[in-house]
Amino acid sequence: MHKKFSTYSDKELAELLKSDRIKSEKAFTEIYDRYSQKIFAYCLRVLGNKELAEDIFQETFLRFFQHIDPTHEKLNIQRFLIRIARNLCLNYKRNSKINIPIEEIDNLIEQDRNTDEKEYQDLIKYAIELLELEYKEPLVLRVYNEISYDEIAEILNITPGNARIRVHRAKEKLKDILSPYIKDLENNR
Amino acid sequence: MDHNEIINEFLDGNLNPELENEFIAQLTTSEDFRSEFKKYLAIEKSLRTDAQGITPTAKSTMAVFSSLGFNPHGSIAGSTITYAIAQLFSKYSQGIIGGIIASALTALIFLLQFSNTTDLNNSNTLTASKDVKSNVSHLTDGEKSEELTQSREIEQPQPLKSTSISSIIHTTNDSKKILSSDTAELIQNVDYYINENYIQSNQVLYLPAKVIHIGKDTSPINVSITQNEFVTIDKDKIGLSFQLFGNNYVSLQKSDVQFYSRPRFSNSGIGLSYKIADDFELISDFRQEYFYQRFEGYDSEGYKVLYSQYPNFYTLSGGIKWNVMKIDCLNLNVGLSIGGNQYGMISRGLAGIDWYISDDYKIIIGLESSIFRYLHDNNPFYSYKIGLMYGIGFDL
Repeated sequence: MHKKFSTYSDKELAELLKSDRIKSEKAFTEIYDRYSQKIFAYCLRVLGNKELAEDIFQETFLRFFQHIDPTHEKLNIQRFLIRIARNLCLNYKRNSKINIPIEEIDNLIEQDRNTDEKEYQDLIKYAIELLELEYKEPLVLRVYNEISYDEIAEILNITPGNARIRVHRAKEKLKDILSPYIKDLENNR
Repeated sequence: MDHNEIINEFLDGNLNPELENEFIAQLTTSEDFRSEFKKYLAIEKSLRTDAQGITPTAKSTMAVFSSLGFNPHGSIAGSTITYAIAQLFSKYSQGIIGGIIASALTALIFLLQFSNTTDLNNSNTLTASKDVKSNVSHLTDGEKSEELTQSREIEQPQPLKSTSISSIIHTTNDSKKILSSDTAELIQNVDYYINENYIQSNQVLYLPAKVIHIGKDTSPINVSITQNEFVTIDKDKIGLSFQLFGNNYVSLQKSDVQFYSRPRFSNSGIGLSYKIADDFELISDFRQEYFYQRFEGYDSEGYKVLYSQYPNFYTLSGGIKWNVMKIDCLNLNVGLSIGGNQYGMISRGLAGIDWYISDDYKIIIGLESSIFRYLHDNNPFYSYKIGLMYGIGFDL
């Protein structure tokens, strides 16, 4: 009987990507619907720049479509997408060497005092931008991509214990950065 | 384990019973611990809220799909017309499908009811009119004076029945004449009379038709009713496709009367299909269509007559469609269906193309041939036609 694409497994969808055009398009759409939000969140929070994140995000899905290998035994589409996005993000960071001055972030946060709830939400964004990549990345993978410590460890090529410690340390750093505003955060909920 | 560690482990859900007791103890006894815990909770909530609020922009989605040559359809959060229509259909699809199924069932009941009331010797729905004579007054003259042309009328909106012998009236009884018992010879020699006038009087509609007496026959009038066989439409919502279509047909038999042109939406219909496999679909449709009919029978006085008419029918049919080949967004297919109306059975063959203009919408075009089998005086007659089918479809 007819089967909705939303019921297909990642492996089945990957196989359909290599079939005829109509099925391929439907399979890609389903994959996009499943993972685009998480991949974009990863790009946006790791890079901290919307335009740049959009470029990397688009490139990620194009490369995914070109390089997906449905015959791979341990195929995990989300992990594959994150690997592509991560490589692109790291390449960009390596080449651009852009560092956001802490003073600038402090100024941004300062401007957000006495603002509404939406802008309080931006505090988190600014605070994440302050984190070093080694803490920011596992935090984003854990919170924004909702993947396990084991998978984070695999992606970052570290141990699961180290992945957990880095995520905890990232949250601790966020707490320290946002301590002056946390009362406001609580009051605005 | 310090405060930060135990709180993070708790938030991860990884506390063992021993640490859980310690966590509860700290929470109830330590003000600092509670304060730290609240800070972590606030951050955790903010992170989750932030994560949920991030979505790729419509521009990015468009760019990804365009680069791959795909349509963004449901994936884009933009406001294209297609997306808006798709959302509308998605939102109300249950109602739409329910409405269609209800309409189909109503049509089925309607047709079955008419089948049961088709009493040919008591055809109350086909009444003679005293005015008919004047409407068909221009009978043949000269060498054609041997022909007797008869007109039949029907009450709107019923189509002329092929089985309505008792409704036939003789407009020129005086000119009635037995011509020949050799039907074939007669058909070759007779020029058919065509009444091109449509007359409406007191809400009674006159359908152009022609009846020619072709010989005396003493056998009793004996007409049977053909029972229709209808397909069941699958009510399962998944894999359904809805179509609106029109037809342009030509009869494969030379017609000598005009068709009944009053109904709206003639030569058009609605269709439903259900995907049972990747390449196969169950199909069904309900349509208004014309069939040219030419058949022999006997009038109430036992004269053999030849009828010629072009009525409009409501037809329900169902069958199977095979999607033979897909080339890009074109889906080449063939199909067979069988169905009928209250007057007989219809079988069709279709070869067509579904052109997917998006993931859900398609333009349908195809070549369709139909055979209509009906009975008159217990004798089967056939009408053939071929033509173009075109329409739009929406996959649910």
